[in-house]
This record gives sequence, structure tokens and C-alpha cells, in this order.
Amino acid sequence: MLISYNWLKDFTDIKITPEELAERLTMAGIEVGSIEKLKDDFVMDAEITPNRPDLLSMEGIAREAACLTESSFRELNAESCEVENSGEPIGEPIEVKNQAPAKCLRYNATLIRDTKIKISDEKITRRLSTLGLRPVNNIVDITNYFLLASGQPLHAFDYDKIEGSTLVVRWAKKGESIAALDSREYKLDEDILVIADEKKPIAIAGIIGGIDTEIGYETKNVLLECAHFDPVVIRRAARRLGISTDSSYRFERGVCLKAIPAVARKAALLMAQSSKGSIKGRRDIFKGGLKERSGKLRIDEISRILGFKISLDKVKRILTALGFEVTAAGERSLTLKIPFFRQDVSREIDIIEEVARVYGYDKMPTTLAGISPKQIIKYRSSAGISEFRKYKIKKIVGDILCACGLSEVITYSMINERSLSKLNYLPDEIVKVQKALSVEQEILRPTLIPGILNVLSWNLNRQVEDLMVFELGDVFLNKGGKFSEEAALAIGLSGSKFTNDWRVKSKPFDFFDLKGIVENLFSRLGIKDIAFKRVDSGIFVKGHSAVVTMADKKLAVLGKIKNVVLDTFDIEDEVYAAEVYLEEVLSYVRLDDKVKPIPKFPAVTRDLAVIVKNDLSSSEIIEMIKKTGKGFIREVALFDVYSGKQIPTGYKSLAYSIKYQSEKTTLTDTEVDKVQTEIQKTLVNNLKAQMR
Amino acid sequence: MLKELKKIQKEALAGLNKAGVLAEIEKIRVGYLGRKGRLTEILKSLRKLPSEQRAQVGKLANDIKNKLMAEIEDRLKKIESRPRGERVDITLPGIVAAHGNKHPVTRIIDEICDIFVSLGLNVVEGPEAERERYNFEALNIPLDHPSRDAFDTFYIKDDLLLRSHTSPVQIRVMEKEEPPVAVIVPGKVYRPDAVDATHSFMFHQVEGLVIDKNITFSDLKGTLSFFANRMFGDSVKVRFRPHFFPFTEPSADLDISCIICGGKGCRVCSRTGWLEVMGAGMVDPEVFKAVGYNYEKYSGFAFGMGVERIAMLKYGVNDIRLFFENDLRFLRQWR
Repeated sequence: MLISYNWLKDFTDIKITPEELAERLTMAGIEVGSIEKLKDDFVMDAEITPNRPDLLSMEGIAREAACLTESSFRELNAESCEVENSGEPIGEPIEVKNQAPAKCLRYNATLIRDTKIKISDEKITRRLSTLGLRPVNNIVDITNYFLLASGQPLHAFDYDKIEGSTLVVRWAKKGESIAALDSREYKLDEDILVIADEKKPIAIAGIIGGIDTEIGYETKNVLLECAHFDPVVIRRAARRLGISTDSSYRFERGVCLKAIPAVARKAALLMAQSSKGSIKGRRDIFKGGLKERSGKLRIDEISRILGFKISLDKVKRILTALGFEVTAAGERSLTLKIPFFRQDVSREIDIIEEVARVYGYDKMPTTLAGISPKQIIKYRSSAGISEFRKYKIKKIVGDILCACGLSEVITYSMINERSLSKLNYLPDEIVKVQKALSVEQEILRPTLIPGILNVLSWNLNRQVEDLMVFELGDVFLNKGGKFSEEAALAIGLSGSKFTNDWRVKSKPFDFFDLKGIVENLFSRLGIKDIAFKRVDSGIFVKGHSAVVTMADKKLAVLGKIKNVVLDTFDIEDEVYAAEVYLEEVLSYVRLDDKVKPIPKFPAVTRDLAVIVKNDLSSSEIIEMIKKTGKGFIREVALFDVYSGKQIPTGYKSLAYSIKYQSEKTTLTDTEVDKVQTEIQKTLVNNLKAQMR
Repeated sequence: MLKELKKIQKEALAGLNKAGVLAEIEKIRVGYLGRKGRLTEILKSLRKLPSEQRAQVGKLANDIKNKLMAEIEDRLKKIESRPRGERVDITLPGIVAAHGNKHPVTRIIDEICDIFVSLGLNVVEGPEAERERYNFEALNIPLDHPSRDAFDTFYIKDDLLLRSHTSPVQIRVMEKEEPPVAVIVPGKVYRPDAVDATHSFMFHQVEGLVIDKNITFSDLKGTLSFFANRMFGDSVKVRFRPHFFPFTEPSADLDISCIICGGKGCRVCSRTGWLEVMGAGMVDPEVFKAVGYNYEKYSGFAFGMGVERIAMLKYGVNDIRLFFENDLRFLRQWR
């Protein structure tokens, strides 16, 4: 909101510079973003928080300024106006029917006859222009002038254009519409409050007037509206109609019920004066009455919340300057009358905030919170483990992958439908966002794979090659009609491993680079008994993909991505990718395994090369070796795979290095030879292997 | 005899001149000066010579011997000062083991969390798809109130939305745990904002909550000042400005002196010299009521900050979209 430095002086004597004032206001919660010199005035742009509608006026800002600078404050409506609080017409009768008394608590109408419409006085046009409003004519300008001065929106109708001269506050009827002052046509409905004459709506209550009853140079008689409309009704209507006006902005936040007749009276007087007209009738429809509100403030509660002691005297001074009235003062507490314009204040804490705000946050002590050491245990993730542990595991996963050479990426959780088209998801499983910003962000990702492929595509299309990336994030799925959100991890590889090693040529990524990363991850998470099984489905190329399982639970899938999938992402290079179902993995993680002792006895290494059929898997051979040499073998490592010359077609040669080591004794050559021979025999007999 | 000696000298020196490696020099030394070397043999045979010749030949032979020895010594020194074997071009790059890196947003999150963990807070997270009660009502954000304007929200279906802030986790934690509670909560949040250099419909926040007996606004100030100085440096000035949040009262914005211009005023801080980095406040009694905490007995503070904004300030990133484009030329700068 714009503030005129000079205008504030109507209400209080400001003895400080605009810059100093801006600083004081900012430090009291009215953040002044900029100050601009405009002729002899200064315009400040301030952010008014939604809890303070009373500050949406020069009067409200001036009250704060007076309090902060300890100057006196003069109200806009000094004169008493209680006499008019009767609901009875005064002077010429004005017919007003309030058909929505619950949503229009007060409706004040004033009739000014024989007006001469002209350009406003210099003072008014200058002030309006300073605050960014375009002057129109003396009547319209005065409504705007009082809106800015007091925060109370006003509206003026051309009285003669009101059909039947009766005003009705009512709900709009279905199919009704109104041509408004902004030259737009608004379609109304039953949830929108209007001011109507006998025939049609002539204003959208609290938002904008109709063009048919607009004040023009020919206007002879003016009907001035000064009312209170329900904030929620105004807010909904304004949102529905896609319009926000200075008036609706203030009604949405709440205007002061009490000030209405006084503002109306002052505005009408000024209108009559300016247009050489005369006030002929007045009507104030107000059934509710004004309820005084009071609050209690304990001095001990101030120190409990703020952490320091403040004198009751100082508290009194601050609150009085803000318009509160001390009705009773005890030794350790105050009873206060809360001013009507402070609808945001009702509880003790609200009053404490007022004290704190004006006292100054910067003057308060600075202490470090004494935090009781207590772990969060009962608050658990959907996987059943504590959220605390879940975060820790995710952090470790990221650390492991970074150590493997991968860069972390973060992609949007919303993706487009096209990127899922080749990923075999059923329409029922997919979760959509309502009113998405664009088709690009329509779907909540059920998998991280599209995000990873998009990142690879983005980089490859910019000649950034040799990519190793991962993303840790949540995925969203409908599982059997039930919505679920689960932690997931995805990995993508393209090109070859980044290296600056000029001594060797780096090899393009293949399945085993990816598998190594996945194996390393599970091993470092303390998950030992996983199995890699062949899987021939989904997004992966047949024969180059696997599923990682543990006790029949699927923990991850990995492999070479099919070209049809890559095509939808505009990728021409080979891509290897993995998706880890982290939510499932979490419960298997063991981070605190006990150490194993360092072997006491020396190890003996023997090599073993076998020729086997192509379809025999290496893991079967290793398993057989380990089983046969149980108790003697510490480790079996594959070191060569060969097929070609000297090997019959359909066969391959596999070479293993077997590390023999006992925990109890030093193994002799004879012992090792015996076991090695036994292993060879078993492999020949059971797996039809040939020794090389 | 003298002729013979001069010939030996000439040949030995010529040999030394050609010799490039130690072995060749050694061969020459043995050949002339060794036990059976040509010069040694002559020196041995001196006594057989007539005495008048002996002095003359002896002197020449000794002269040649000394000269050869000096020459050999000199050669050896030259060869030893030469590098052994092949020389490497030490300007070729050293070999780096391939290593990856975390995303800058994650780095900032980790940095923030680590500071608060050092103060005794627990890191926890919560769901991104959230219920209305947690995102709004329990946080004292009523339906149809202008205070909801700051929290425009994506809906998935009835009573299921993408959280517009991390504050719902406050409620989730308080519902499960009795006070005292001290948590720090990083996570993704969503708001239907049009994307530009400073806005994104998805971004990250870190939320904090501390509740116990006797937790005061002064504690809020001290704790968050400690954080700001750890995060942005000890020379950074910190100020607290009153603000409004529905779920805290009193509420504050925390500003730090601009880390770009040092507080003199620049484009980044809109010439104010200050940068707003987080919102905070004492937890509102309404929130205590929503989770069944006793407000007369306990008090606490909460705070929240935008991670991308801090990352942009700290790393000098001028467009928030860079964080989500994931161009490796950008991301690898944090390697």
C-alpha cells in the first residue's frame, strides 16, 4: 500500500524524516519497501500484513507512527455520531431493504440533492494522484479520498438512475449480470451479494459499482453508500469474478463497524460542500449493535513468552498509544478495552505481540534455547521406521552414490503424460494434479525414471556427455485404489565414466557398471543377501536387465533402457538406468554391524579356470565352489571371462581366484590342494564344467 | 716409451669423450687404470727402465694418470647429475578418481540441518501429499481468509493436496510426541506460481520447531542469530522485524545484512542493505490447541526458510530454474 508522508501529518505531528519514519515502521512490522519523492511529498510503499486491515488507511498508519514516535494522534472522526445509530430515516425517506442481514451487518445511505459535478479541489486530486488513483470528479474522488484516509470503502450512485428509488441488499439471482464501472460485464450467481434497485443489480456489493448508476456530469442527486459486508462473501465473490478492487481488498480483510456513520457523515458533508448540494436524507441500517471487547494482560505472561521483564508502566504507555484503554490496573496485570478497529486482537498473546512489536524486537535479549536432548521416536514414516532414521539413511545413500562418481539431480515431481507413455503404467495407478499449470506438469510422478531420462536428454542435447546421475525423491501411486507416497531412488548412466586419465581409454558404460553401483549401495547399507535375477519385461532391453530381490521382496530393477523408451525422450545414446524402491529397502538397512576380526592365519590363493556352457551363470559356479570348500574359503573372485579362439562355440571360459584361509590354523599346501581338487571334481560332475 | 704414453693418453681421452653411460666410463677406467690397465702396466714396468729414462717417463706416466683420473671424475659427476631414466612432463594433469556431487540445494539443506543438529534438534521429514488439516486448519489458517493468499495450493483430490509449506510436519510431530520437541524439517513444497527467475512451482523449505517449558522469544532470537552467523558468516548482522504468520504469535522476519554488498545497498537487496532469509515466531496458542498441548505449561518457537533463495544468495545463482534444469555443467561446479 502507498503512504503519503504529508497526508499523515493531518493526523499527527511527524518530526522525523521520511527515511527515519520508514525505518521505524519497518521495525514495527509495517515493512516499507521503497520511498519515492513526488514533488513536495514522499510516497512510501508498505506491505500490510493480512491481519491488519486497520492499517489500510492513512489514519491507521498515522496512529502507528504517532505511537512509535510518541507524538499525539488526532482521529479522522472526532465528532460524535451516535445519534444516527437508529435505523430510522432522517430527513427525506430513503428506502433500503437489507435481505441479507447476516452478511451485510450495516448499511448506511445518505442522499445529497442538487449536486454540481465538477473537477475536485486541488488538494484532493493531488492526494489521490500521489497515491496512484486517477481523479474522476468531485463525488467519486471523495469516495476514494475517504477510502484512503479511513480505510472504509464508499460508493456513490446517481440517485435518479435507481429504478423505483429503493435499494435492496440481496443475493444475486442465477442468470443475472451487471455491466460494471470497469467496462466489464460480470455474470452473477446466488453466492454473490449485490445492491439492486427494483429491476436489477446496480452494484456488486463491496466490490464494484454498475455503469448504469455511475456519477456523471449530469448527475443531480447522489446516494452515498457506506456499509459493512462479510469478508468471506466478498472474498469468494471477488475470486469467482476474477476481480480485486481497493474496496474488495479492504472488505475481505474487514472494515470497522463502528466508524461507518462518522465516515459517511464526513464524506457527505464534504460532497455537499464541494458540489454545492445539500444533505437531504440519511439512513443507517444496523441491527447488531456494537460489542465492547476487553482483554486481560498478565505481566508474568509477557516475560514467560518474551523472556525478559518489562515495566507495567511501559506496557500501559504502548497500549494506550495504540488506542487501547486501560480499565483496571492490578499489580501484575491490566484489564484493557480493545479498540474496535483492532479486530485482530482478542487474546492475551495478541496484546503481548503489540507490546513486543512497539517495544522493538531489537531491544530484546538474545539467548540460546536450552534444548532438552530427546530423540524423536514415535513420529514414524509410512515404512514404519522413525523419520529420524529414514532421513539418516537417505543421506547415506546420497553419500555412497556421490562416492561412486554420480551427480545428484533434482527434477520436478510433476511430469507430463507423454513421458509415461512407454513405461507401462495403468491409467488407474497414475495420480493427477487438479488444475495443473500446464500439461507438462499434469501427473505426479509414479517413478523417477522419466526425470532421470529428461536430465540425460537435456545434457546430451547440449553436448554434455559421459553422464552419471541419481535422484532421491518421493513417487506417488494409486495402489489398488489407495494413494501412496514412497521414497525412491533412480540412477542413470550414459556415455562412459568421467575420467581425466589420459593414460587409458575409458570404456562405454555397460550393465556391469550399473550393477556395480547397485551392489555397492546395498552392501554399504548392510544388505547382504540380495539376489540379482534376470527380468525380461518393462522398459529394459531383453537380456540386459535384472531385478534385485531379497526374500521375494522386489528392491530394485536395473538394466539397459529400450530404444522405444529413449525415443520419447529424444535420446540417441545408450542409457543404463536403475530404480531402487527405497521405501522397501529402508527396513532392511543395517548400519551398525559389528566388526569382524582381522584374520590371524595367512591366506593361500589358487586360480581355477573352467569352460562351461554360455547359459550357466557365474553365480552358480561361485556358489558351488563356496559350498564345496566350506570352512576353507574366504573369497572367490572372478577375474576373467573369455570366449573365442580355443573355446568351442556356445561355451565360455571363466577364471576365478580362490582365496583359501582358515580362522583356526595355517593351511598347508596339501590341504589346499585337496580342497581345490575336490572343487574341480564337483564342478565337472555337477555343472558339466571342463577344466582348462 | 714416451710415444707409447702419448698414444695411451690420446686414446683414453677420445674414449671418454664418446662414453655416454656409467658402464662405458668404468670400462675405460679399468682398461687404463685398473690393476691390469695399460697405464698401470707401464707404471709397474718403470723400475726395469734405465735410471736416466725412468724419471722422465715416470713423470709423464703419472701426469697422464692424474689427468685421466680427474677427467673420469668429472665425467662421472656430469652423468650423475643427469636424471635417471626417462623424464616425465610434470605439467600433464594428475589423475583424479571419479567422484560425484550432491545437488546444491541438498548441500544447503545439509548445511542448515547440520547447524541445528549441533544445537540438539532432530532431522525429520513428512509427506509431500498432505491433508488439509495439516497444511491449513491445524496451523490456524482458516478457509476463505486472506492469510491463505500466501498459500495457493495444488490439489490432488478432496482433502489431499501438495503441501504449500513444510509447517504441516510441525503438526504431525506434535501429534505423536509429547513435549519437549525439537525438530528440523527439510522438504519439497509446491505452489502454483508461474515460473520465472525467482519463482518455481516446486521448491524446498527447511522448517524448525522447538517446544519446551520456558522457551521464549529471546531464545528464538538467540538461536536463529547463532544459525545466521554460522550459515552466512560472523560478520553478518542480523535483525528481527515484526511480521504476521497465522501459526505464530508474535511473529518475525529475520533479515541479514546483504551478503552481496555488505549492507551498503545494491540491486539484490533492493538498496535496503538487508536480505530477508526466514520467517519465525512463537507458536500460536491455536496450534497448541489443535495438537492438544498445554499452552499455559509449554511454549516454543517455529521458523521456516526457503532453501533455493539461500542457495541463490550464497552461490550467486541468479535464476532459480537452473536448479531444476540439472545441466551437469552447472551441477558439476559443486563437485
